[in-house]
Amino acid sequence: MNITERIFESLSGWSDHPAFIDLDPERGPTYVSAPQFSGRVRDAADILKKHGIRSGFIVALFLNNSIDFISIFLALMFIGAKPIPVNMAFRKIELDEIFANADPHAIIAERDHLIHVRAHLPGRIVLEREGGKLYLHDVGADAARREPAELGGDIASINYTYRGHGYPLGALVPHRQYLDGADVLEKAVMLERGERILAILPMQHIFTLIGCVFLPLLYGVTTVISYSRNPLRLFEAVTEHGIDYVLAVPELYELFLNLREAAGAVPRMKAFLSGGSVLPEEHYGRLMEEFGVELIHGYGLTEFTPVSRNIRGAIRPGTIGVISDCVECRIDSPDANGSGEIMIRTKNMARGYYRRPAETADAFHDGWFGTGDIGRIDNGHLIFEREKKGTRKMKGNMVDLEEVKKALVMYSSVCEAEVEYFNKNVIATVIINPSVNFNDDVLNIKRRMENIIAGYKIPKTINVY
Amino acid sequence: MGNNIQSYDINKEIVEIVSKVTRIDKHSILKENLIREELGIDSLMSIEIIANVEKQLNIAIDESKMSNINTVGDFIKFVELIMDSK
Repeated sequence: MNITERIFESLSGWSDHPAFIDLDPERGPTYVSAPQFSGRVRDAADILKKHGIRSGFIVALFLNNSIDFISIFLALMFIGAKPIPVNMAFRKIELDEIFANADPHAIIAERDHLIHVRAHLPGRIVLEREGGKLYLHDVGADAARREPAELGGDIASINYTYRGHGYPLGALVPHRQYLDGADVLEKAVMLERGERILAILPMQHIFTLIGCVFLPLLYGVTTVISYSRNPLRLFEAVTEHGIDYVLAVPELYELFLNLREAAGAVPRMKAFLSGGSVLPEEHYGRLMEEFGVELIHGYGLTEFTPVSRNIRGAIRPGTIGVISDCVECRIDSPDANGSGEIMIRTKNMARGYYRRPAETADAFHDGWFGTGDIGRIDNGHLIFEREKKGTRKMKGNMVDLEEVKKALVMYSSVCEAEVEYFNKNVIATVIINPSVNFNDDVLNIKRRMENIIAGYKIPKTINVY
Repeated sequence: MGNNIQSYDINKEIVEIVSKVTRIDKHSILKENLIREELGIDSLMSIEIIANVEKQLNIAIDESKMSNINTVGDFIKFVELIMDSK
């Protein structure tokens, strides 16, 4: 089963409503119908093949949210290539690991992003995107001659995540995960054909991919792609384009609340879909009251999404909802309160981590996947408590504390570093090498880290000793 | 550049908004403060600041043009330019 073929089938049955409305501020709103979008995906597949990208080739994608991102992502899966949707905030430490681990045959990147990937361009097929078009940057003769990766046909993409090892792990995501994820979410949200969902979050995240790409394409819903996260702009888009649903992280909804008064009248929407981090219970009532929406909060991981989600019409605030139909869930070694590691089993979860047998064996046992998160089940509803693994979710982004520590000790003056998470912030303590004439200050360490690690991972506070 | 009274008002408005979002005492916020490294303003906080400044000063700010803004002073100048071009 190839997910792109299923999407072609779905698109062939659409009525006149658009598949996408792209709110690119440079070009103005672009409406793309279902037949036009099918054509775009097929055209993209032809271009990719023309430039030597074949079935089994691994392709690192560095693209901003756009219809092009989606058509290229689907085209790659259609021809059997394995896209890696890479987080655009990643810098040296993450990219070195990903390129060493996956050794992609090709790179497709925004032209102005190539500078961040320049160390990894030689020998690879490189396509650059500029002004909505793809251009050949490098034919990558060496890569074109390389053998395809030995990945099964059931694998759709490689999506990098963290478990606290200090480096990213490439989850092998099957085609059926995207299909199951969309199906589970559809049953919870109960969308109708022709309705509209607003895409705000980066499409590299599996939550966005499922909620704003696969769910709408498979169920006849129009995705409106916003280039802004400013709530005032988003509310304007809601007014102008008749948005029914928004998909975002809890922190963005908190921003909606903070700016509610400033926004004035906001048209009534149907539901907010929320995930990616913790939604404080007190925000449920306020959001539903202030915006007149249902708030559908859920939980998932790159290895499978959604594990659980609230159901429209039967929402229970403070929980991450009921377990998805296709998922078995148990709590491992529960304590007196019933809390323990959340374990899941479903036939369509990630097949493991690419070229990481030890890490795969650590996470996947006897058909079960240990989420690395602590929670409990209360009256059929899953309640998230905290992370057991060495990662923390910050505004929808995952921060691996060990990786931050590694980035700090890459600074020549730092001989030791400790990193902790406190009060929703990453805090570091570093010890300076006494043999080094240390004239720098904390600001210089932070500034240097901007080239080494994603900006959202840089500690807010660094104590120097 | 706007006149002195306008500049003073914009300066005051922006510092008050930054203070409200960051919960840092407005008297501690200096024009030379680095937005990310010193004030700890992340991307969502910057959006909250932008939206509040837009509403307060009745202007529109293009987020994509913010990448070269490093200090509070840079941001104040950026807003002044938008105000002047209104």
